[in-house]
Amino acid sequence: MIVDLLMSTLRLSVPLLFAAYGGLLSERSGVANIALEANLLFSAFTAAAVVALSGQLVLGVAAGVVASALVSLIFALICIWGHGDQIVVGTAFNLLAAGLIPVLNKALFNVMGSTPALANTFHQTWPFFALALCVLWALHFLFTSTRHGLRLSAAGENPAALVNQGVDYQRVRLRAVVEGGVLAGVGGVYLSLCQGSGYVRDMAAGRGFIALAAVIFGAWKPIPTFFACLFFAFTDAVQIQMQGRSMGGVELPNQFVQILPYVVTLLVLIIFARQITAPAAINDSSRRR
Amino acid sequence: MSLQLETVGLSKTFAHCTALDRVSFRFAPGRIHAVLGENGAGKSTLMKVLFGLYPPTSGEIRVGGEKFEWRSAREAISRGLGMVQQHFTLLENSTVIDNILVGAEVCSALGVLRRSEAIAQLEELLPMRHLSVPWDALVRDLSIGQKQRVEILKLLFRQAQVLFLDEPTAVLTPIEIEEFFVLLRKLRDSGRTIILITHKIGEVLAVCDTYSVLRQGRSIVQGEVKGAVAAEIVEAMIGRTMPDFAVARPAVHGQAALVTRELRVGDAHAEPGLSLHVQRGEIVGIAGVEGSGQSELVDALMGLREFHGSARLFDEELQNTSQVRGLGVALVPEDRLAQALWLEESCYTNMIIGLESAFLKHNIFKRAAIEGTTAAWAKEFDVRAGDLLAPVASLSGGNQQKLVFAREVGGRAPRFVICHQPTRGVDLGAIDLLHRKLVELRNQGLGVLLLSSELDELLKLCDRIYVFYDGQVSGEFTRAQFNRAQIGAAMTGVAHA
Repeated sequence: MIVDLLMSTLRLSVPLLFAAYGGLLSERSGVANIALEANLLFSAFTAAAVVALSGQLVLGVAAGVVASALVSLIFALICIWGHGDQIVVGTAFNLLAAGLIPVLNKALFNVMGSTPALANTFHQTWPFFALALCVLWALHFLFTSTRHGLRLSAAGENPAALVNQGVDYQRVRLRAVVEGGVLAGVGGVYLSLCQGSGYVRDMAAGRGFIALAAVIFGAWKPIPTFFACLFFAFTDAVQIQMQGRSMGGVELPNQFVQILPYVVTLLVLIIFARQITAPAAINDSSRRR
Repeated sequence: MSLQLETVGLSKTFAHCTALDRVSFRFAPGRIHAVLGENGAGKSTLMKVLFGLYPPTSGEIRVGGEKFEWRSAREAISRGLGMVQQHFTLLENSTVIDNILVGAEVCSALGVLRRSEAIAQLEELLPMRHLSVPWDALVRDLSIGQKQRVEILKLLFRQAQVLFLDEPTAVLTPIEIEEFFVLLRKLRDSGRTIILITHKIGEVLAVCDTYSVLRQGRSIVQGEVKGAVAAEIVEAMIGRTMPDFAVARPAVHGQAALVTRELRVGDAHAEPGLSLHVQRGEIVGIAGVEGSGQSELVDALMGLREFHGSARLFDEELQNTSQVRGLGVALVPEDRLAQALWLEESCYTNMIIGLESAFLKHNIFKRAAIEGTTAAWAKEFDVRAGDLLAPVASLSGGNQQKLVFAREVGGRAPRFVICHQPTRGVDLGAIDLLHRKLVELRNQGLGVLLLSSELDELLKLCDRIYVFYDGQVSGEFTRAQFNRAQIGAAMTGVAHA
């Protein structure tokens, strides 16, 4: 049972990890990103739709990642050059995902809810998890040892430090957000092409927000964020295992069990968020000028 | 390589105003130049134009005799210019070396940083002991003086030959200022051009070779400091003579106004705590390096923070903010933008914050009364706002501060005044007015507690000075004992005999 629980944790952690990586890149550069949910949904949907239409898994993966990158690009353009409030724009993107995807689904497959079930999906989780580990190392290296990482952090901490050096911090941010979109896209692709077989309405189920909570819990640093994701995935795994089981003769209603990951996320944020400081310049673009 | 920097008829017009009007200055290499002017005289704009952050509207910049037009800070940097802004642009959570590198990274073709190579370059560049800072320390753990050194190192690392320093001593202690001057002279002797933006005449006379005065965007005069007279420079800056005033002494009524006993706020004050007293008719100064427990003291007195020990004002124990205000306390807080003003709101709204109830009738504001009264206060305190309906953010620092003063002193008719850094970022004319008002209040028998990092201000106004160091009183000086060296020593924790 313990082994089951751990395997289940690893499986469930993949979308959280990629979404959190995406959020981490964006947030460290100073762009608060609550649109991760939209990234996951658009990439999950696009990947599933392309596979359903073409039958090609690889094409689906590419399309999902590109869709997520595009979402992030538009998000970044509005926030950075449009000086939109990042929270408001992010909310709009999440609403857009909830509304637009069913419309597209209807247009393509003549049903609102989900893409046709796919015969052709990834059966193995481990390549994705291995990729998540590689990306973790890459992010850690990015922040500790590279020019891009240094500038990205500067854009998130004190953009004036870049302005005075003649570096365009808005471009640094744009790049970070789009790179984040690519990573979050992998998480979405995993949802519809590996964890599930096809897109199901609202299949991200708040994972974008939980990933964001993991970024905060991980103090905006890659390695702690990784473990925060594993922790949240674990609570999700526990939740799944507990479903339908009786506790001392009393059967808990499934709805109570299912809220466990969300309650844990809330509790963790309530307890720890006070001691964690966010990048200083986060969501400052609407205040500038 | 030494560069001469010259501006010829340089103008900069914004949508509604002319910030620079045909400014012609010449800055020779190997010298320290002061650029002087009141707030709003165009000093900052001049810097930004010279540094490529704003394009000039007309006129030219010549570097080493050659006309140059920059389109970005990057170009200015590559031509050997460097700037340290008044508010440091450092990454607090990054290391010193990363702060120096950012924007001018030493790295491989793939963008991987080579920090040790950069450190080697830096150490080669720096024969000066004065500049050593631990490379791996986090900037947030450094003292203000060290942070400033990091900013200067950033410039030197980029091979800057012309260094602009905007109000560099505003945040330093007297000792740090001395060290800073030593550094400036060394940089000058290495052939660099130093341009010091300041409004402190004392500094100009102490360390600069030439002075250049800006007033209302125009270059008024440029001359040699040697042989110059302070009063002339001030006159050039403000366009009129400013009679100095001395406080005609006796006031001090002898009745206690504020008495604290062993007051301590959290970790800010060590045992045994602060035991201070302020009498009526007395200005008591608190000197000390910023962060020595001044802000916490003010917060405690205002009922904004819990404290141990006791604080009594007019024989009543201080409990909470509304009670403190009810006892007639006026507060001019340290950071007017964050603590005293509502920036987007009109001047007249800002002048009645906290006094609203006096202007209500059936819970509705009496507009006419507000406008009439605030206009009168604005006049009394010389708040120069074209329109009191304009947002307070549009006023200069000096006028904002006068507005806060007008509200707190004019509006509240206080019995006790707490002023924390009242003249920071405020022009000379406003400083003069604020100082006179404080003395007037004292002469009327009010108690005044004045916290300032400007020792000159305290020496001029105070009847008595407490010195804070590390959350404790490290010295107390009556007027007869005032001594700059001893007070300065107490500020660094050396007890005076």
